This record gives sequence, structure tokens and C-alpha cells, in this order.
Amino acid sequence: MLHLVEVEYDKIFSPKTMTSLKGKSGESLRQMLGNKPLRQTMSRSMALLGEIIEAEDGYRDELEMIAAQMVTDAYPIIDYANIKIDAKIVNMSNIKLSEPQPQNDPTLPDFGKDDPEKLKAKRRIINGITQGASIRGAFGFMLFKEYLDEINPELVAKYNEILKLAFGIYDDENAIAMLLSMIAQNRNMPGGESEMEYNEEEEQFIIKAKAICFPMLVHEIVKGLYEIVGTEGFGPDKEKNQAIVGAVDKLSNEPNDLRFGKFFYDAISKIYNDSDIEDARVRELFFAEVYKLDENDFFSFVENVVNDELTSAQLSWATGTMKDIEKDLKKDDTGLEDLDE
Amino acid sequence: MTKQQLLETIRRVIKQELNEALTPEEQKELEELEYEFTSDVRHDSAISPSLYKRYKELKAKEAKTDEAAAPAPSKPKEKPGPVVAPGKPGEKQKPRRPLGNPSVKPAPKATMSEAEMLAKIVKRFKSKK
Repeated sequence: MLHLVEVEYDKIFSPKTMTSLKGKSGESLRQMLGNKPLRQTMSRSMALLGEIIEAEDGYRDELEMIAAQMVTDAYPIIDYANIKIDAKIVNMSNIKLSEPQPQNDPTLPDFGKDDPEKLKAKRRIINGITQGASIRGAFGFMLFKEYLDEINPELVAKYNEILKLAFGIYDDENAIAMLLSMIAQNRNMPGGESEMEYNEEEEQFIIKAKAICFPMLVHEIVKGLYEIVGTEGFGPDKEKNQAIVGAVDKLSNEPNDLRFGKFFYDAISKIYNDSDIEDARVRELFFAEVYKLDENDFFSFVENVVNDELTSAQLSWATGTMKDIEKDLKKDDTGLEDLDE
Repeated sequence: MTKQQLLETIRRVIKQELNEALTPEEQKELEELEYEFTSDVRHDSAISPSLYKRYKELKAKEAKTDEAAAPAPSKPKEKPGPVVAPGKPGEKQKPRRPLGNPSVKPAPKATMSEAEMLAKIVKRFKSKK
């Protein structure tokens, strides 16, 4: 019987790459948390969260709309791909995560020529990128600073601080020990959750996001968007896909996905940022093209891009792919077919 | 309304307008003659040549209006346009770069893990001891 077991980053990447990732994580820890002791970080984030929830009380409906609008403005791919957003600010008790499917399902499909270990590793990296993109995207609330100042002039500074605290701890290996203490005191708190759905009738993807406050809701919506992009890493076989999801999409994988994924995201985004392409939709569509690469090409691309060592062939592929995407988008926008000439 | 529906409406209106050239009296006369010629109880001997001539005149006039309202034969067939206005959810034209693979349903993702994280931490602590 085929069993799909854990797949960890240090089994996927070379020691050199892991050293580089851990170095970046250490730098991120300093930037996000400074020299604050971890216990102080955790108690400060608890206090801040209470203040934010209190300040947002009475404005939840508007903040939900702003969060959806903000992400739509910042990610024009949402309009292009006709993605619907269902975003809610809820109480902590309303966030209950459903458990993933058991990983040792005896009805696991025959993977044929596909190597399930490679498929799992690819999915793990894509999950990391999804988490990384959502951390970076959460700080986009600055776009609506003026409006948020109207609600409460202290909110923006508090949002900035809570996000740094909430995500900074994932760069600290000791954070897990601190979380143990919090859990023992029954003070553990999920900040939110997101999932994507596909409405077959409307042929439309829906992002369903829930969070306990505005900045976490933005984070969850972006996560939902990148979850949709991430589905491009799968093939057409539903059974194989769900087997991989069951083995990899686990809560226990998320801390390290959050820790390292932002560096995968940064490195791939940099290719887009360094290009002369201004159409922001190209960014997510380029990620989709990277995800479509076969496993070996995908691992090589991600490893090299993280180490800033893309080969000339990889760089040329990336540049050409982004140009092709840009051309297609222009054709869609203008309705003109002869833009190639 | 589709382009095709619009064209048909225009043709119908033109035909109606042109038919007005066939006066109500003439229209009534034509209908009576048609009834007369197609009635089961008619007798060939009852159709006088003058009546038949009149019938042919009226039919010719009617045919002329029908022809004027008909589409030009050389005109290429119009493709039906969109039934609804574009831009509404689910009704957009398919993009060249569709995003997302409906063949998979990823598990919901949290910001913080709870029970599983606890189990993992306990396991790690135990293994260190």
C-alpha cells in the first residue's frame, strides 16, 4: 500500500539553500521583532489585538468591504479572473478549522509515472509561497490609511505592529515553546482562516476568508487568492490531487511554510519587479506558469531563484513567459488579435 | 436584444410599413379571395378570370413588400451576439489566461495552528528528553 509521509523543507532543498533560508529568517526576525524577548512579544500582541478588536467594533461591515476592495485594487488579477471574495470579520470562536483528510487513505490512487514524493514536495513549496504572499500582502492596508484614520487615527500603527508581531514569531524557533505556554494557559488564538471554492455553475472561483480583525482578514484574502494560483501546480487527476492535498495541507506544516515561504515569494516576485512590465496581473499569472513546470524544473527554478543563481536559460524562460502573458492580457483588454506584429 | 433579434424586428417593422401600401380594403379583398380560392366548397367555375387577375395583382403587391423586407441574399449570416451585457460575474468572455485549476480542493489554511502544533511540540520536547 502506498503511504504518503511527511515532506520537510530540509529534505527538499540542499544544505546550502537551507542555510540561506535560515539566514534570511534570522534577518527577518530582527526586522519584525527587533530585540524584544519572545514572551514580551506575545503578551504585547495579545494586548494589541484586544485594542484593535475594540476599535473595529461597529465598523466591521465597512472594514470587510474595504478589505475586499483593497485586495481587488492591489491584485487586478482578481477582476481579470472573475474571482469572487466573501470576507468576514468574526469572533475568535467562529474560526474552527476543519481537519484535513487522513493521509494513509487505503484508497490512494495509482500515481503511475508520477512520483508522489516529488508532487508532495512541489505542493509544500507552493503552500509556502501562498503563506509568504499573504504575509507580504497583509501590509497593503496602507493603501486605505486615510479612511482607517477616520475610524481611529491609531489603527494603522496598531495594524502594522500586530502584523509584525504575529508573523515575526515564525522566524523564531523558540516561538513554538512560547506557544506551548500560551496553549497551556488556554490563550492560544487562531487569527483567521481562508479557503477557496469553485462554483461549477458560474465557473467562478470564490475566496472565503474569515479573520478576527481587519489586517488579518486582508492577509486571509490574499492567502485565498494565492491558493487559487497554487491550484495551477496540480494536474487534471482529481484523485491524485486530493491525495497530495491530504498529505501536505496540514496545520503542522504551516509554521515552517510561514517561516520560509515569504523568501520563495520574494525571490520569484523579484523577477517580475525587476522586469519592465507594469501590468500587475502578470505577477500572479507568472507564478501560475512557474507552478506548471514539471517537478524537476520547478525545484531547480525555485532553488536557484532563492539563491539568486538563475541560469541564463531559466532567466530567459522567465522573461519570455512574462512577455507572452503581457501580450495575451493586452489582446484581452483591447480585443485586438494582431498585437504580435 | 441580440443583433439578430434587432434585424428581425427591423424587418418586421419594414414589412408592416410596406404592407400599409396594401390598403386595408385591398388587404381584406385579398384575404377574401384567398379564402374563396382555397375553400373546400369552392367550385372552379366560380372563379372568374377577372377575380383571378385581381388576386394575382394583390399577391404581386404583397410579394413585393415581403421581398423589400427580406435580407439581402449576399449578406453574410450574422453570428448571434451575447445574450446578456458583458461585465457581470460569470458572464465575462473567457480570458486567454484563465487562472485556477478546478480539479483540486485544497484544505483550508490557518494563520496559527493549535492542536497539531501542541502535539508536535510535545513530541519534540519528549524526544529531547
